[in-house]
Amino acid sequence: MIVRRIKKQIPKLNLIPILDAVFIFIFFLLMSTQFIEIYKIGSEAPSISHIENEKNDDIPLNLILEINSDSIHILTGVPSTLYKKIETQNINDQIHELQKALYRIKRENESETTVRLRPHGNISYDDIVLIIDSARKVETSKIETEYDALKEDITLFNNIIFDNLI
Amino acid sequence: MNENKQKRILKKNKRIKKREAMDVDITSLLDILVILLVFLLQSYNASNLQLDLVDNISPPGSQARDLGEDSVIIQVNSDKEIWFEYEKLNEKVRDGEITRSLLEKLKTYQTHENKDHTKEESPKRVNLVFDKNLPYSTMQTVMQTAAKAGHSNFNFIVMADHSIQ
Repeated sequence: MIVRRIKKQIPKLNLIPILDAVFIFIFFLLMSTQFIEIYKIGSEAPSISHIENEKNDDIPLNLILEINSDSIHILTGVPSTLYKKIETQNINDQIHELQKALYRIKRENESETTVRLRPHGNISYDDIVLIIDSARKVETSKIETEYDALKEDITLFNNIIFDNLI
Repeated sequence: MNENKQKRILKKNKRIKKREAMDVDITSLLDILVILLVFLLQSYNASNLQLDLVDNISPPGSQARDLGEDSVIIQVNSDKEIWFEYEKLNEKVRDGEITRSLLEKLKTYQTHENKDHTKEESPKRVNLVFDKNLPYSTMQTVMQTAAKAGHSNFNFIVMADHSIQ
Protein backbone atom coordinates (compact mmCIF):
# COMPACT_ATOMS: atom_id res chain seq x y z
CA MET A 1 0.00 0.00 0.00
CA ILE A 2 1.35 3.38 -0.92
CA VAL A 3 1.11 6.00 1.77
CA ARG A 4 0.92 9.50 0.47
CA ARG A 5 2.65 12.01 2.56
CA ILE A 6 0.85 15.30 2.52
CA LYS A 7 3.10 18.24 3.23
CA LYS A 8 1.67 20.27 6.05
CA GLN A 9 2.04 23.93 5.25
CA ILE A 10 2.89 26.11 8.25
CA PRO A 11 0.49 29.03 8.28
CA LYS A 12 2.35 32.32 7.89
CA LEU A 13 1.50 35.05 10.35
CA ASN A 14 0.49 38.30 8.72
CA LEU A 15 2.75 40.82 10.42
CA ILE A 16 1.90 43.80 8.24
CA PRO A 17 -0.90 45.32 10.41
CA ILE A 18 1.25 45.10 13.54
CA LEU A 19 4.12 46.66 11.62
CA ASP A 20 1.87 49.56 10.64
CA ALA A 21 0.89 50.11 14.27
CA VAL A 22 4.50 49.92 15.44
CA PHE A 23 5.55 52.48 12.81
CA ILE A 24 2.87 54.94 13.93
CA PHE A 25 3.89 54.41 17.56
CA ILE A 26 7.55 55.01 16.71
CA PHE A 27 6.73 58.28 14.96
CA PHE A 28 4.70 59.42 17.95
CA LEU A 29 7.54 58.55 20.35
CA LEU A 30 10.18 60.14 18.13
CA MET A 31 8.24 63.39 18.09
CA SER A 32 7.72 63.46 21.85
CA THR A 33 11.09 62.21 23.01
CA GLN A 34 13.72 64.48 24.51
CA PHE A 35 17.13 62.96 24.28
CA ILE A 36 18.43 65.02 27.18
CA GLU A 37 16.88 64.19 30.54
CA ILE A 38 15.87 67.50 32.07
CA TYR A 39 14.21 68.13 35.38
CA LYS A 40 13.43 71.16 37.50
CA ILE A 41 14.21 72.42 40.97
CA GLY A 42 11.44 74.73 42.10
CA SER A 43 12.06 77.83 44.15
CA GLU A 44 10.20 81.01 44.98
CA ALA A 45 11.36 84.52 45.63
CA PRO A 46 10.88 85.41 49.30
CA SER A 47 7.75 87.40 49.96
CA ILE A 48 6.27 89.20 52.95
CA SER A 49 2.69 88.46 53.81
CA HIS A 50 0.55 89.77 56.63
CA ILE A 51 -1.79 87.33 58.34
CA GLU A 52 -4.17 88.76 60.88
CA ASN A 53 -5.37 87.06 64.07
CA GLU A 54 -3.02 84.15 63.89
CA LYS A 55 -0.90 83.59 66.93
CA ASN A 56 1.61 80.81 67.01
CA ASP A 57 3.66 80.14 70.12
CA ASP A 58 5.98 77.68 68.39
CA ILE A 59 9.49 78.96 67.87
CA PRO A 60 10.16 78.87 64.11
CA LEU A 61 13.10 76.80 62.91
CA ASN A 62 14.16 79.46 60.41
CA LEU A 63 16.82 77.22 58.86
CA ILE A 64 19.40 79.17 56.87
CA LEU A 65 22.40 77.85 54.95
CA GLU A 66 25.01 80.54 54.56
CA ILE A 67 27.30 79.32 51.79
CA ASN A 68 30.76 80.80 51.59
CA SER A 69 33.66 79.67 49.43
CA ASP A 70 35.40 77.95 52.36
CA SER A 71 32.55 77.10 54.75
CA ILE A 72 28.83 76.49 55.17
CA HIS A 73 27.15 78.01 58.22
CA ILE A 74 23.95 76.33 59.37
CA LEU A 75 21.86 78.91 61.19
CA THR A 76 18.62 78.29 63.09
CA GLY A 77 16.13 80.24 65.22
CA VAL A 78 15.02 83.84 65.53
CA PRO A 79 17.33 85.70 65.76
CA SER A 80 19.62 83.35 63.87
CA THR A 81 22.20 81.48 65.86
CA LEU A 82 24.97 79.27 64.54
CA TYR A 83 23.98 75.60 64.70
CA LYS A 84 27.03 74.23 62.92
CA LYS A 85 29.91 75.41 60.80
CA ILE A 86 31.22 73.06 58.13
CA GLU A 87 34.60 73.81 56.60
CA THR A 88 34.43 73.19 52.87
CA GLN A 89 37.66 73.34 50.93
CA ASN A 90 35.88 71.09 48.47
CA ILE A 91 32.09 70.92 48.79
CA ASN A 92 31.93 67.36 47.42
CA ASP A 93 34.01 66.04 50.33
CA GLN A 94 31.90 67.68 53.02
CA ILE A 95 28.45 67.06 51.58
CA HIS A 96 27.80 64.05 53.85
CA GLU A 97 28.67 66.17 56.88
CA LEU A 98 26.06 68.72 55.77
CA GLN A 99 23.48 66.01 55.14
CA LYS A 100 24.11 64.51 58.57
CA ALA A 101 23.49 67.86 60.26
CA LEU A 102 20.37 68.56 58.18
CA TYR A 103 19.04 65.07 58.87
CA ARG A 104 19.47 65.67 62.63
CA ILE A 105 17.62 69.01 62.35
CA LYS A 106 14.84 67.33 60.36
CA ARG A 107 14.40 64.62 63.00
CA GLU A 108 13.95 67.32 65.64
CA ASN A 109 11.61 69.41 63.43
CA GLU A 110 9.57 66.91 61.41
CA SER A 111 7.01 69.42 60.14
CA GLU A 112 9.56 71.89 58.76
CA THR A 113 10.00 71.87 55.01
CA THR A 114 11.74 75.16 54.26
CA VAL A 115 15.40 75.98 53.94
CA ARG A 116 16.68 79.42 53.04
CA LEU A 117 19.89 79.64 51.07
CA ARG A 118 22.26 82.55 51.39
CA PRO A 119 25.09 81.88 48.93
CA HIS A 120 28.04 84.18 48.50
CA GLY A 121 28.27 85.84 45.06
CA ASN A 122 31.22 83.74 43.85
CA ILE A 123 29.70 80.32 44.59
CA SER A 124 29.14 78.40 41.37
CA TYR A 125 25.69 77.22 40.28
CA ASP A 126 26.98 73.65 40.22
CA ASP A 127 27.88 73.80 43.93
CA ILE A 128 24.56 75.45 44.78
CA VAL A 129 22.66 72.63 43.04
CA LEU A 130 24.74 70.07 44.94
CA ILE A 131 23.81 71.74 48.24
CA ILE A 132 20.13 71.99 47.20
CA ASP A 133 20.13 68.25 46.41
CA SER A 134 21.61 67.48 49.82
CA ALA A 135 19.08 69.70 51.56
CA ARG A 136 16.11 68.18 49.74
CA LYS A 137 16.72 64.47 50.09
CA VAL A 138 19.00 62.12 51.94
CA GLU A 139 19.67 58.44 51.59
CA THR A 140 20.04 57.37 55.20
CA SER A 141 22.11 54.32 54.34
CA LYS A 142 24.86 56.61 53.06
CA ILE A 143 25.25 58.67 56.21
CA GLU A 144 26.07 57.57 59.71
CA THR A 145 23.81 59.07 62.31
CA GLU A 146 22.80 58.24 65.83
CA TYR A 147 19.40 57.30 64.37
CA ASP A 148 18.71 53.96 62.74
CA ALA A 149 19.57 53.81 59.09
CA LEU A 150 16.32 53.22 57.26
CA LYS A 151 18.05 52.54 53.96
CA GLU A 152 15.63 54.69 52.06
CA ASP A 153 15.44 58.25 50.76
CA ILE A 154 14.06 60.73 53.26
CA THR A 155 12.77 64.10 52.18
CA LEU A 156 14.38 66.81 54.23
CA PHE A 157 13.65 70.39 53.26
CA ASN A 158 11.91 70.50 49.91
CA ASN A 159 11.00 74.16 49.91
CA ILE A 160 14.04 76.12 48.70
CA ILE A 161 14.13 79.88 49.07
CA PHE A 162 16.97 82.16 48.06
CA ASP A 163 17.28 84.54 50.97
CA ASN A 164 19.25 87.40 49.46
CA LEU A 165 17.08 88.17 46.43
CA ILE A 166 15.43 91.30 47.77
CA MET B 1 3.32 29.43 -38.43
CA ASN B 2 0.64 28.17 -36.04
CA GLU B 3 3.15 25.96 -34.30
CA ASN B 4 5.38 28.93 -33.67
CA LYS B 5 2.47 30.87 -32.23
CA GLN B 6 1.56 28.01 -29.93
CA LYS B 7 5.15 27.76 -28.69
CA ARG B 8 5.20 31.45 -27.96
CA ILE B 9 1.97 31.25 -26.02
CA LEU B 10 3.31 28.31 -24.03
CA LYS B 11 6.50 30.22 -23.19
CA LYS B 12 4.47 33.24 -22.07
CA ASN B 13 2.31 31.06 -19.82
CA LYS B 14 5.41 29.57 -18.24
CA ARG B 15 6.75 33.05 -17.56
CA ILE B 16 3.45 34.10 -15.98
CA LYS B 17 3.48 31.07 -13.70
CA LYS B 18 6.94 32.03 -12.46
CA ARG B 19 5.80 35.55 -11.46
CA GLU B 20 4.40 34.75 -8.05
CA ALA B 21 4.01 37.28 -5.24
CA MET B 22 7.38 37.86 -3.57
CA ASP B 23 7.45 36.75 0.02
CA VAL B 24 9.54 39.29 1.95
CA ASP B 25 10.75 38.14 5.33
CA ILE B 26 10.08 41.08 7.65
CA THR B 27 11.02 39.31 10.87
CA SER B 28 14.43 40.99 11.10
CA LEU B 29 12.88 44.38 10.39
CA LEU B 30 10.37 43.75 13.15
CA ASP B 31 13.21 42.89 15.53
CA ILE B 32 14.89 46.23 14.86
CA LEU B 33 11.62 48.08 15.29
CA VAL B 34 10.97 46.42 18.63
CA ILE B 35 14.45 47.40 19.87
CA LEU B 36 13.85 50.97 18.68
CA LEU B 37 10.47 50.97 20.39
CA VAL B 38 11.94 49.86 23.71
CA PHE B 39 14.66 52.51 23.48
CA LEU B 40 12.16 55.26 22.69
CA LEU B 41 9.79 54.14 25.43
CA GLN B 42 12.64 54.27 27.93
CA SER B 43 13.59 57.80 26.98
CA TYR B 44 9.99 59.04 26.81
CA ASN B 45 9.39 62.10 28.97
CA ALA B 46 5.87 63.05 30.00
CA SER B 47 6.88 66.66 30.65
CA ASN B 48 5.31 69.34 28.46
CA LEU B 49 8.51 71.39 28.58
CA GLN B 50 10.38 71.34 25.29
CA LEU B 51 13.88 72.71 25.65
CA ASP B 52 16.66 73.27 23.13
CA LEU B 53 19.88 74.34 24.76
CA VAL B 54 21.68 77.34 23.27
CA ASP B 55 25.43 77.58 22.63
CA ASN B 56 27.97 77.30 25.46
CA ILE B 57 25.48 76.21 28.04
CA SER B 58 25.78 73.16 30.20
CA PRO B 59 23.22 72.85 33.00
CA PRO B 60 24.38 71.14 36.21
CA GLY B 61 23.57 67.54 37.07
CA SER B 62 21.10 66.92 39.85
CA GLN B 63 19.22 64.22 41.70
CA ALA B 64 15.97 66.16 41.26
CA ARG B 65 13.30 64.20 39.41
CA ASP B 66 10.48 66.75 39.15
CA LEU B 67 9.26 67.17 35.60
CA GLY B 68 9.55 70.63 34.07
CA GLU B 69 6.52 72.67 33.09
CA ASP B 70 5.93 74.74 30.01
CA SER B 71 6.62 78.39 30.70
CA VAL B 72 8.81 81.27 29.59
CA ILE B 73 12.45 80.14 29.21
CA ILE B 74 15.49 82.27 30.05
CA GLN B 75 18.91 80.84 29.25
CA VAL B 76 22.24 82.32 30.33
CA ASN B 77 25.43 80.76 29.00
CA SER B 78 28.97 80.73 30.41
CA ASP B 79 29.71 84.07 28.69
CA LYS B 80 26.72 85.62 30.51
CA GLU B 81 24.81 86.04 27.23
CA ILE B 82 21.03 85.91 27.59
CA TRP B 83 18.39 84.16 25.51
CA PHE B 84 14.72 84.93 26.08
CA GLU B 85 12.56 82.26 24.47
CA TYR B 86 15.47 81.37 22.11
CA GLU B 87 15.91 85.01 21.08
CA LYS B 88 19.37 86.31 21.90
CA LEU B 89 19.35 89.65 23.69
CA ASN B 90 21.89 92.36 22.91
CA GLU B 91 22.74 92.80 26.54
CA LYS B 92 24.89 90.56 28.74
CA VAL B 93 24.21 90.01 32.44
CA ARG B 94 26.06 92.57 34.54
CA ASP B 95 26.16 91.37 38.12
CA GLY B 96 24.15 93.54 40.48
CA GLU B 97 22.41 95.51 37.73
CA ILE B 98 18.89 94.83 36.50
CA THR B 99 19.05 93.66 32.86
CA ARG B 100 16.78 96.18 31.13
CA SER B 101 16.18 94.31 27.86
CA LEU B 102 15.23 91.17 29.78
CA LEU B 103 12.91 93.12 32.05
CA GLU B 104 11.16 94.64 29.03
CA LYS B 105 10.80 91.26 27.32
CA LEU B 106 9.33 89.73 30.47
CA LYS B 107 6.90 92.59 30.92
CA THR B 108 5.76 92.33 27.27
CA TYR B 109 5.35 88.58 27.67
CA GLN B 110 3.31 89.11 30.82
CA THR B 111 0.91 91.57 29.21
CA HIS B 112 0.45 89.06 26.41
CA GLU B 113 -0.15 86.29 28.89
CA ASN B 114 -2.65 88.34 30.91
CA LYS B 115 -4.81 88.72 27.81
CA ASP B 116 -5.02 84.96 27.60
CA HIS B 117 -7.44 84.10 30.38
CA THR B 118 -6.84 80.38 30.13
CA LYS B 119 -3.42 80.71 31.73
CA GLU B 120 -2.86 80.99 35.47
CA GLU B 121 -2.57 84.45 36.96
CA SER B 122 0.03 84.74 39.72
CA PRO B 123 2.77 84.07 40.68
CA LYS B 124 4.26 83.73 37.22
CA ARG B 125 6.57 80.86 36.54
CA VAL B 126 9.89 81.15 34.73
CA ASN B 127 12.24 78.39 33.60
CA LEU B 128 15.83 79.36 34.28
CA VAL B 129 18.60 77.56 32.41
CA PHE B 130 22.00 78.59 33.71
CA ASP B 131 25.42 77.28 32.82
CA LYS B 132 26.82 75.28 35.72
CA ASN B 133 29.94 77.45 36.05
CA LEU B 134 28.07 80.73 36.47
CA PRO B 135 28.56 82.44 39.82
CA TYR B 136 25.61 83.06 42.12
CA SER B 137 25.91 86.83 41.60
CA THR B 138 24.87 86.34 37.94
CA MET B 139 22.00 84.02 38.88
CA GLN B 140 20.88 86.50 41.51
CA THR B 141 20.78 89.35 38.99
CA VAL B 142 18.63 87.32 36.56
CA MET B 143 16.32 86.16 39.36
CA GLN B 144 15.94 89.72 40.63
CA THR B 145 15.08 90.92 37.11
CA ALA B 146 12.51 88.14 36.70
CA ALA B 147 10.99 88.80 40.12
CA LYS B 148 10.75 92.51 39.31
CA ALA B 149 8.73 91.64 36.20
CA GLY B 150 6.38 89.49 38.32
CA HIS B 151 7.92 86.11 37.54
CA SER B 152 8.83 85.11 41.08
CA ASN B 153 8.27 81.38 40.77
CA PHE B 154 11.59 79.99 39.56
CA ASN B 155 12.16 76.62 37.98
CA PHE B 156 15.87 75.84 37.76
CA ILE B 157 16.39 73.46 34.87
CA VAL B 158 18.91 70.73 35.62
CA MET B 159 20.10 67.57 33.91
CA ALA B 160 19.56 64.13 35.33
CA ASP B 161 22.74 62.91 36.95
CA HIS B 162 22.75 59.24 37.80
CA SER B 163 26.36 59.25 38.95
CA ILE B 164 25.87 61.50 41.97
CA GLN B 165 26.49 59.66 45.25
